[in-house]
Amino acid sequence: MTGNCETITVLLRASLRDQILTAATAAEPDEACGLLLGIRETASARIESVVGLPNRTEQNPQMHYQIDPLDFLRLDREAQLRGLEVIGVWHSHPDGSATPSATDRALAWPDWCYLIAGRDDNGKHDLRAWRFRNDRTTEDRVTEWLP
Amino acid sequence: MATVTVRIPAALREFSDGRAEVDLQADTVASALAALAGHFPLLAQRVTDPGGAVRPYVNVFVGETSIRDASGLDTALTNGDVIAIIPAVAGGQV
Repeated sequence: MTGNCETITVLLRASLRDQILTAATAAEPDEACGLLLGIRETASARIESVVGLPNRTEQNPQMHYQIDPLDFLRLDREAQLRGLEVIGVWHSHPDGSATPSATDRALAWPDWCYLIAGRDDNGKHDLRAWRFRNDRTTEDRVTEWLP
Repeated sequence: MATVTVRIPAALREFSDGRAEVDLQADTVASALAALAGHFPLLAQRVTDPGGAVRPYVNVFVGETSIRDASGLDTALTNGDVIAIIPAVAGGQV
């Protein structure tokens, strides 16, 4: 992990992008969420697996999500066995854009990969990648969709 | 003293020189985290507050048991235990 502000390219296969958008649609009107397993290198984050997890928020699930830390722990072990690591999280904004909210920003971990599924101005599905610096400012990452 | 392993999540490895695991000698979670602070003080600052309490947005597990469901920082350790630092993952559209 670098912790600097250089641009990081997120590498994601189209099938995994579709998996996130399908899960987000299925969960509506609630937010969907899960973790991203992959390989983090200096200039890229290659996502190898997208895992959907139950939304365990104790707040309104249409506005918030939370991942059970035990789910995280078990996936971290699984990733380790596969030579991968948990490199980020994905979640959906059922009625919002694919940009980080104030809550997302406040609870973010620096230099992790955040994928947010939302809607664009035309109401179409949108998926964008973000990372958060230590000061909670964000940077829209370059995302390369792999076939 | 038990020999235990502390597992560090990717989100915090910039504070552990990139190391995913650290082996330590400790008999409680508190002493393990104190030993960890000796190696990686910036990592320890993100796990515990200045008073030594685990921060609200961090979870510490011994095996599959959260220390919040055990004896907290006084949770006893035995040889081979794995302590996992798990970041709380949450957010939402508002």
